[in-house]
Amino acid sequence: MPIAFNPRGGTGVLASGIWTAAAGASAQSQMVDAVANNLANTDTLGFKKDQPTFREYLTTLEREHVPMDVPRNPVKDKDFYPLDGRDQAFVIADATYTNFRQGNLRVTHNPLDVALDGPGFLEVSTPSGIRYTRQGSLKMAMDGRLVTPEGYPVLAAQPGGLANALPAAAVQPGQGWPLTQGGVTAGQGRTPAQIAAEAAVAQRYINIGDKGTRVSIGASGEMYAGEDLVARLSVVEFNEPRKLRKQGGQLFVNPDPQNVNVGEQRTVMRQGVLETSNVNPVEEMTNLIKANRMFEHDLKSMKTYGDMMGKETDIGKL
Amino acid sequence: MIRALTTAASGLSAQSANIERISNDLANVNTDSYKRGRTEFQDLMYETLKEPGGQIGAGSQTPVGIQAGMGVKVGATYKIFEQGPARMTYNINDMMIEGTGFLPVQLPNGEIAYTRNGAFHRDSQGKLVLSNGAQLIPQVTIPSNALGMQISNGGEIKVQLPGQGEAVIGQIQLMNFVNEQGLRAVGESLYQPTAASGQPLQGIPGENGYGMIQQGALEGSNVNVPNSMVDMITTQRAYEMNTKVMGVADQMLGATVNVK
Repeated sequence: MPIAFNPRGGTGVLASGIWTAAAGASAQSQMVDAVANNLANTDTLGFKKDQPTFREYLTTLEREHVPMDVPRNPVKDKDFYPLDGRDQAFVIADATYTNFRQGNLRVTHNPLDVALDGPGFLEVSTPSGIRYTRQGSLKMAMDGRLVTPEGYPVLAAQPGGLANALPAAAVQPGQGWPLTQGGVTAGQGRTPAQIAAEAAVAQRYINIGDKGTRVSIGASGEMYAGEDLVARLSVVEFNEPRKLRKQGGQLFVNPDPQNVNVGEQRTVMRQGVLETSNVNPVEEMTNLIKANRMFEHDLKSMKTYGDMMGKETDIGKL
Repeated sequence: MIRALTTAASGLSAQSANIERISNDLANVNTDSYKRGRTEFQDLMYETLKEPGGQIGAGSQTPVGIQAGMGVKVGATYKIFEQGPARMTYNINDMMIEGTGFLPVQLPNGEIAYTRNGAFHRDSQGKLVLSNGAQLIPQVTIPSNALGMQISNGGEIKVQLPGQGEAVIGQIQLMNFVNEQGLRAVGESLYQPTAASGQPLQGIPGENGYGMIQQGALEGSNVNVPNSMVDMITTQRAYEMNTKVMGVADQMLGATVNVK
């Protein structure tokens, strides 16, 4: 229940003060929401924790700049602070950012488990387009295709490297990869470039056939089934990972194609290892206690403001 | 705070599913050919309160947005078909598969199932059956006057017949699956194929990557007790932390109600 607050609410000095406290309580409750989600995902493979950031919100900034008639009238102090005593510094939960620090690695000895040591992501094809994940517990579908546990095909690297991975016609800034396989009927509302891009994605599916238990994966993602090189896993690094958007199921959406790092890759693949969640329970419990206490303090000041307003009306009775 | 409550509740149900899996593994620590399970979690969808990369003026964008997570769910539970340790029994009817593959058996109700449990017995007619009565396919009948039985690594079953010398009476077939984790465990160490596992691929033991047969041995459970105990500890603590969050959300809600 995020407490709604209206920065312009209130009638007098006291009344607007109570909104400052309410804003604080609202921000702290968002903090608890984030902690709850992080702690619920302490055992989720490849999960990256979220951290809310708070920002001071000045009502001063809501007012338009008014030019003063300096030459004609003598300037008074209050002309510089045209706030009518309502200069309030609210707090708002400004952003949540995802912490992409590497999670702990857990050795499983399962040949289809892959951990990415470094900043890269695996590329998977979902019905709504290309998504990125660090969840490395891969599976084989019945036709031998390498998939995520949800059944999304894992993609092989682009033949010409990542520099060739950006088809100019198919990508427009802000739209991400406009690639779809299911859901959208072929040819409807899509340009030929998009359809060609989809076909290119389908060619990058990895098929291991029936060689499942004899798969070996090298440090730079080469997959061997028996002695045959099947494919190279596509690992994508981003210039600015914070631009990625979470989608659930440990999948990330990249909204900006220019964000892909086409330079040298630093990520190393480790077979038989899984990356666990990067949630640190001690840190989260500390945040939880802190948010809980701050919330209580905010409520206390709300109550105090409320009591004071009660006293205001009492004055008239004297 | 209602979100924090339901998020914590999703954490509780996911962790309790994990405890159920761990307790099943530990209960089967001495079950021959038992395969340990794995529970995989996935984060739920996110509510995007503010889009990252939104335009906030000419040429500048918000670098990060606000996304609120909804919790966790159990994404998958499946078996890890890692080889279990060999246990020598010196019982001539026991066989163990070294490597990949499953033995096909016919259940008493006529259905076909696949198992890695090679603890066979002879029934009154000399047929090789599992303790639940499932018969090995292709059917092998040991003649009543046979002396001894040898199963080669390649799955050939030989017996000594008095006066006739050695005779081959059967050949064990192994079945592989493209995706063995897609098999459905039906209990009693039996598995049945699903649309996810694909159809069984038949092979001769020791050829083309199929496992070899080892007579007089059984495959033990592949449950790793120390790992399961560690799993249990982390799961219990994760459960506790989620109840803590629930408590805090409840306290905050109560405190809000009591402001006035």
